[in-house]
Amino acid sequence: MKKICLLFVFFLGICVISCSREDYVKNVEGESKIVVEGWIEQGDVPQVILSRSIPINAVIDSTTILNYFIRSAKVTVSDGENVEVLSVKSDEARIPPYVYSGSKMIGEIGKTYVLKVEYLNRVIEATTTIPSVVPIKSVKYVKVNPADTTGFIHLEFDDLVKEKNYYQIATRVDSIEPVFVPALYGNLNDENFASPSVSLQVSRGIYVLSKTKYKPYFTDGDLIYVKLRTMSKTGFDFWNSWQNEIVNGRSPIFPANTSLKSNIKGGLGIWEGYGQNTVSIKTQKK
Amino acid sequence: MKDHNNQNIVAADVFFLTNTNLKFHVATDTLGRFSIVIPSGFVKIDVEHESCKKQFLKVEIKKDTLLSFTLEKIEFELKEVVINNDKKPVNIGVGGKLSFSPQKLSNVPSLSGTPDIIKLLQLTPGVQNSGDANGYLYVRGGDPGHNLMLYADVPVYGMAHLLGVFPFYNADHVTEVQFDRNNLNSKYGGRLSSTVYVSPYQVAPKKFSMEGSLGLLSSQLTFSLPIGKKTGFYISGRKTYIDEIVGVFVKPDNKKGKDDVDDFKYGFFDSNLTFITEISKRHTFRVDAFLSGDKFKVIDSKSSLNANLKWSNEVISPMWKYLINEATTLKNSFYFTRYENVLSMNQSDVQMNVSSHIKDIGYTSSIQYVVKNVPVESGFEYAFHDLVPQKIEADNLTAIVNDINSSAVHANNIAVFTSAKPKFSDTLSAEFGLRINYYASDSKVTSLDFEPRIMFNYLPKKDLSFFVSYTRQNQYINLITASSVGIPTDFWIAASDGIPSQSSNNYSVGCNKIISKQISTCLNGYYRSMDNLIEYPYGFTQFNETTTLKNDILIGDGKAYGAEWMLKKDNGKFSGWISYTLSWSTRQFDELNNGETFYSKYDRRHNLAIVGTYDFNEKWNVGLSQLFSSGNRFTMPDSWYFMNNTPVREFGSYNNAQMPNYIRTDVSVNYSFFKTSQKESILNFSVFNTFNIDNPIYVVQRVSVDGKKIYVDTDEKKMYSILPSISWRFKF
Repeated sequence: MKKICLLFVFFLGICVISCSREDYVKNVEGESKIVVEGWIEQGDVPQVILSRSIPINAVIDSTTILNYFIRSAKVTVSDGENVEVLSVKSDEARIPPYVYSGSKMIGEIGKTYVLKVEYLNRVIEATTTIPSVVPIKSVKYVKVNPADTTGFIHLEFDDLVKEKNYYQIATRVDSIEPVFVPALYGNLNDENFASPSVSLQVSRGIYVLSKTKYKPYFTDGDLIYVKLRTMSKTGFDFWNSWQNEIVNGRSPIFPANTSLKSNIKGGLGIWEGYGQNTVSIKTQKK
Repeated sequence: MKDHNNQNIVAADVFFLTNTNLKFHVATDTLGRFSIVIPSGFVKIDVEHESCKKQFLKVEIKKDTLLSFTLEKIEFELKEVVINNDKKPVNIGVGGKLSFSPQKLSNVPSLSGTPDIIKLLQLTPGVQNSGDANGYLYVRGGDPGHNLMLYADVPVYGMAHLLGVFPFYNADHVTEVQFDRNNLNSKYGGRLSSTVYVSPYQVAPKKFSMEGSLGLLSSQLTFSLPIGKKTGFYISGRKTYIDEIVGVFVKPDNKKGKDDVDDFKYGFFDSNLTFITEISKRHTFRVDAFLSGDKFKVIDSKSSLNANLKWSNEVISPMWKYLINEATTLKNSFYFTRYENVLSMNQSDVQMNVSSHIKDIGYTSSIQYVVKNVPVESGFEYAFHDLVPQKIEADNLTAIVNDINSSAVHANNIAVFTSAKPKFSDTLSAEFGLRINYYASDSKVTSLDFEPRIMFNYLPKKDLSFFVSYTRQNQYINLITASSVGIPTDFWIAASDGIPSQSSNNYSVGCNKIISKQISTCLNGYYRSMDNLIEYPYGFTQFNETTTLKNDILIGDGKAYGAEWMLKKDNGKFSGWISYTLSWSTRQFDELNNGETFYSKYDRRHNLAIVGTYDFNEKWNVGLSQLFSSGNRFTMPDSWYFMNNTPVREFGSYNNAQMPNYIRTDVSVNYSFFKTSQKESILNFSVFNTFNIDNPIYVVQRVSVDGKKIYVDTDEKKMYSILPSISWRFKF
């Protein structure tokens, strides 16, 4: 009897312990940091999107999210000779839908650009240089089977043998995707190229906000923009970590639990100069 | 010295008292042998072993005499000596060693109805509960790859079947498991943490017999096949045969009712073979082999994933044992061991293959001898390692990308070792060992390391002993764990250019106390420092492009300390044990957490296991195991933001969050139709997680976008709810 009583007390104990299990999700405190998404391409003006990161426990709806978008910062870009203050404009294609952009300063290959953001007594800085442009040699819309109504993009370009290059391939389907979406496996390091003449199949990247279910291929009738960008090692590492978050971040079995790499001192995100070349291809509807 | 099963009795004390009142003492070695030089004449011999009744014998020694103590056979002019080897289920040895015979623990509840060696070890002090869906061992703050898993002297690199559901070893083929948390034996090395030595059958079968079990999920069968008097085989096989049932159980449960995974298919087989022949009294030859293969298929429509995963183990080892004289034994063995895994994935029409393998060819030679009454063992070991850590082949990349990761790594490892067990007085004894490793990989990385192993054992009373030990270990072949659950895509890497070898210093103190004939307890404390540990924070691969491994792994240090306590009752109607471990395990990596120290993933502060079995009568028996452990650590995002119109997460400090406490109660009821040492027929009912407590195996937080709504979605997966099972165990 004594033993049974003991056993009973023991099980009661277990029940008490199991009921008092803490809510581990609430134990992690969220922190808000300034996020920079900035770029400058050759022949174009610098553009910067600013926001604050949203704490994981924050309750978010279409109004409260606006509190995390930054519209009142002072954003300047200098190329060593000139300094320009960027002005904020609304851009519905982007999230957050406000882009700080320049008007006078135009990106040049080889030049270094320093970004400075001043917001609520905080100053954050980042530096980047625009690398050489690598032109796209050819872009083709290829079908595995001629009867298919879908296909892939086949891309060719010549790696600059004398330079160290990092590439990003991105695509945008007109009127479906508002921004260029980095292709799956589309970040390339030239050290791994078997031949300087590069020819590869491009898999469409995942656009999370897409209204339709993700498909890795393009459809007949699409107007596709294909962009080949050169970037720095920092940019390459950043986009690799971004891709890792997009693809592995959803996998429970191989979880990605590393933050994105960043070159922003005092904040998150990226300020990167790109050498870009874009071509468009109109696929024929049957 | 042997028991009635003809198994060697190790570390039995033999005391001699001559008619001139001289005292001598000797202990049996790992082969159950002892040897001593004493003056001729009448002598009183006392035989003591913790798991045997004391025996004594008076005999006149006139010349060199061989005394064999066995249950049935009495040789020479000895009077009848009966050694009652009512072996305890679990034996605590000196210096934090522990051994058990899995078959004696078959009444302890288990999911498959058969003893699971790894899960049983997790019920002992110093071993962290791995949680559900994980078949790894976490010993004294070490990583899973830090344990030397030996099957008949051969390292086994694969460690688990899928999600740790099925026992990795077929317990019917295993006679004993020795577990050394301190790695005191200098014969074994190459790992930072513990040694798990799984011994298959040791003596040739005397007659044909068959045993096994039939269960809902899998069945197993073992045959003993004698060929002549001193030669025979043991062959075991196991197979899962209802993959669909496994699929139902393994199907993840999701509180929000969304089923992530559409289809699972899983199956495995394994087989063990032991061949033993006693060529003559002095020569024994044996071959041990172990084969296993697993197949797992998953189709997940949400992430348009279709994956096929296969992994396999092959172990084979011929061994020749030569008794040069009564005190000297020479053992020579070759071995081949191989572990391979292949994952083929088809995600979003991108075909990808990730494979890895490790292959060892090795040779061990050791000699056991006695120098001035001190048992000594010396020898050397050579191993050639051939590894392909991670070979990634992606459809659209192979065309343009060089095969940079597929390059195999070769390494050679030579070790010489020696150990001695001197006895200074009746109360003070010691174990000294030294292992010297020379390691060379083909990337011109070499190292020469000295590993002392020292233990002093002090016995102030017959029922009380204390020990203090220090060991140093080096590890050249390391396991990278990438997956959050027990999915064997983990791979082994060798110390080479950019990947340093690891080392650890282990300090341990302890005390064993025999409270009564049946009850004993032990208390240990340990401190361990580990250098050059590896973390692989990238879930799987960097996915975008084949990067080099050494860019992706991070190197840092670790510390672990804690206290372990065990109280056990060995026999009687009620038997069982309580094991409690209080421990800390921390890591420091320059590239993680801004260089600040963080808790390791399996840092569980408290680990409590209660195991008990009760025999009502000859027919009915019940078993219970109760686990409580603090939740393990994981990394949780602390905020999120948009980048290229896509929500991405920002993670906080490494391993910043803790899972809920792990609580599980398993019960089993056994009904014996009949049970003798030769024959048995037992029906086993088990209920796993009896109180249906949620023990999540992982938590993932994702930012989800649903039309215009954006929300953070906490996805908590658990593997088992309450899970009953039935199996039938038999032996003929």
